[in-house]
Amino acid sequence: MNRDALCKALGQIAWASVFLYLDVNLNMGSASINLLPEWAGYALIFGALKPLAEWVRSARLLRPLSDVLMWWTLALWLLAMLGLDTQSGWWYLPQIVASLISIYLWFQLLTNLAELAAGFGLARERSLRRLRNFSTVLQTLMYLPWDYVLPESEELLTAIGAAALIAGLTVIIWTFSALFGLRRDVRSLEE
Amino acid sequence: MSNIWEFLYQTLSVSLAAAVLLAVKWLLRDKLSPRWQYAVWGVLALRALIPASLGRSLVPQLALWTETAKSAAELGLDSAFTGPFELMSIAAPVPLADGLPRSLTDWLFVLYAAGVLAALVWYAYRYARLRALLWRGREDAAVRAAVDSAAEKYGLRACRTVSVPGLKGAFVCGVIRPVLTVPEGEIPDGKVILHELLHLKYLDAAQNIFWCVLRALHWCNPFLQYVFNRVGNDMEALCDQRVLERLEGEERREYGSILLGMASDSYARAPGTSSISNGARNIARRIEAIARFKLYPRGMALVSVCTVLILASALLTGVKAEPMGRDNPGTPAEALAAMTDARVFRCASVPAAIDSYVKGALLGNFYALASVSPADGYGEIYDAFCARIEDGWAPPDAGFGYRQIVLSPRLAADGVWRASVAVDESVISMIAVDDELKGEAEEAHDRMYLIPIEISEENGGYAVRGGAGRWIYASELDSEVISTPDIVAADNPEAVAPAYAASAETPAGTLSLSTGSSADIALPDYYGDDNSWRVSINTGYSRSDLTFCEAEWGGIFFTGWTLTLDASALYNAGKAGSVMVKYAWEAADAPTGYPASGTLNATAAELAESGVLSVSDCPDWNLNIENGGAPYYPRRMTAEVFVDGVSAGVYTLELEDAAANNAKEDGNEP
Repeated sequence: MNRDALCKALGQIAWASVFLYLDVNLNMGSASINLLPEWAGYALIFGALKPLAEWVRSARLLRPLSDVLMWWTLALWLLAMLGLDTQSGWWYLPQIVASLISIYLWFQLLTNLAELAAGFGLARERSLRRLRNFSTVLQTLMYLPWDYVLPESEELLTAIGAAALIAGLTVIIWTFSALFGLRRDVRSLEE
Repeated sequence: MSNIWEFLYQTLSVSLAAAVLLAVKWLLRDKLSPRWQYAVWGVLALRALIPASLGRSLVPQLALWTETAKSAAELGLDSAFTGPFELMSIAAPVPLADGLPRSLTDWLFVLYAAGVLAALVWYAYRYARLRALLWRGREDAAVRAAVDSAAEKYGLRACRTVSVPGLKGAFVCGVIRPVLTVPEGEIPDGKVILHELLHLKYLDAAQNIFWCVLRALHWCNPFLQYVFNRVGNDMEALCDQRVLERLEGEERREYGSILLGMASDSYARAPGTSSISNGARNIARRIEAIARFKLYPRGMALVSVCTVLILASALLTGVKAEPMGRDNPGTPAEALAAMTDARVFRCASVPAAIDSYVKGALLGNFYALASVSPADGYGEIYDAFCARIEDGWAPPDAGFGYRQIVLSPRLAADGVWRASVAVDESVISMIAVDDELKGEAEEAHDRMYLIPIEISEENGGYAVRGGAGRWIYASELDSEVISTPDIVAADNPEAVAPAYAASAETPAGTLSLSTGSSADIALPDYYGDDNSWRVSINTGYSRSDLTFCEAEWGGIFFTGWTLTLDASALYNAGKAGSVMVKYAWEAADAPTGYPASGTLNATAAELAESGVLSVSDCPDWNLNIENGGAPYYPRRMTAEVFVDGVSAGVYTLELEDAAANNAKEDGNEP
């Protein structure tokens, strides 16, 4: 089992999270180009899974999912570049499937990374599992039909929006910290 | 479901949900366990039980397509179950015909309902046949002992056992009094017994009945029949999972071998039963799943639950329907599509409904007219449109801004709004759809066309009924001028009825009180330069932007009142030197608390002119009227009349209908 390849893979996964969580959009009239495209993130993950699977076997199960997501997000990125609408209701079903797969992929990936950390005896294992649970629950909450159950109240919506923003920022920062930290930890073990 | 179209829409909705579930299950087939693979079908069950909604579906225009197809098909038929322009409304996911069939589509629905019944009867017959087999069997002590032993070993509840000659494999039959049925002369392997007892524990036979009912409801949908087969197979795979969780080591391999040995067996699939064997291909899939038993990623419980929640949320709520037709269709087919949109996306506010009616009824905007048509008016609109198209009429290209005036909109106690709408002759002369009216408009300088209208709530929106229009003089009506009924009436007496009126006979003459209002209409969040709405008549409604459906009162909502004392008779009789009226509104409940009291008087010289005293005002009662809301009209004025300084009595002018208007708005009884 090649630890150098593992460190490289962990770095790819950490950088993938940057592509997936951050958007830098260049607006050109009716078209928009995301300079940190999601498909690049999924491509990085796809490339990282094979070396990771040498250490955590079930990681290889994620390759087809990252492949599907890479092509899907690439298609959306190209359509956005052409100024085509990808937000209409026609995209609802495929978007739901893609979102679901994405949530699963991140959940299992973080689980695999936590198992990896546990295998190395790293304390970061608990942080990764907590991050996994928190981000999954947060994303799930975003998909629930709150407009059916919540009363119409601007104050309430503002409060919820603010809470969601804070939670989201927390997840992003936590993810970067956990993933880059894991790479650093594994690398330092090697040294 | 009360007609074939509602069934079509319901089964399509369920099919779409099933397709999504199959896609997700395929992507996660080797990642989430058979427990999740079966549990996720619960979403399909809910989708099948919940009537599909027109406002939301998994594909934005599915309901609209179905509605349009219905309109096109039913136009030539005389259905007893539905009409070409009657909106689908699925009350329950089961067929409920109301009346005797008349048309082809009615008979198709009857055929479908008969199929449901036949399927249920068939399932019941098969169950009864299986149950009848038990009468041929007998209890075998050795089998009983094996079952009891397995039950004790795995901590499960045992049940009655029967050995029946001629059976190929074991199965559990029944829900309330289940029986484990085995081939005569055989003592099933402990693992087979375990499998059947687990079916018993988790009430799989009852679930089977449930799925059979759904299967019957969609008997003519081959895709869903395939899906329900998959549900059954996933149920068996879950039972395998449960068996494997209770076995250890070599026992698991032996269990796989047992299944392999059953690959060529036939199996009893009937409601109220569950069987370890379910066909060769399915056995092969189950063997694959068994092989993956230890390979599913661990610790996936949370994401398993979350994915089901997301799927349920997405597939049960769907996405808002989107309109599909044209504002001004050019063919009957396009008209049907536009009419479907109009029936589904109704005007959601009274101002929107009024404006749509004018654009539709007077100026020929087909979609606008359809969006406020009463349910019984669609046929007439469609026929009139087709006749116009045949005569070579085409929607005019011209579009320009104009402003109509709504006079005295008010909400009556019966829940119906009433108002009058005034439209400028220049607009009508350019693009009225009625040639005769257009000709009149060309002669009608400085006049407006006044139409009395009634607006009522119908089908989730508002429907407008218009009365006979007439021409009135209305010079210099613009948003800066107080447009009370009396100003209009001054140019053309009795031209416009007030919103509310009351009168009293006094020694000084007839005391009359009237209130009215005027407003124009604005799109939400949009105002022109002078705070009034400018919209192109024929291209004004962007189909992708339905905010016109929520148009509101624009600019300033003027509310005026006029108090008049006709003292001419008194004066002509030489009995009045001076006349005075002290008046006060009981306007404590007015939104802005306008105090509104004052004095109306006239000397003999002033009386000499006409004998009529009059005062008008335009308070700010409705300055902050809520969007599209009912305006406030005051209910009561007290007036004391003086003749030559001597009180001639105190009179209360009661605007009773206004009380009803305001009470309805407040939610209180008048």
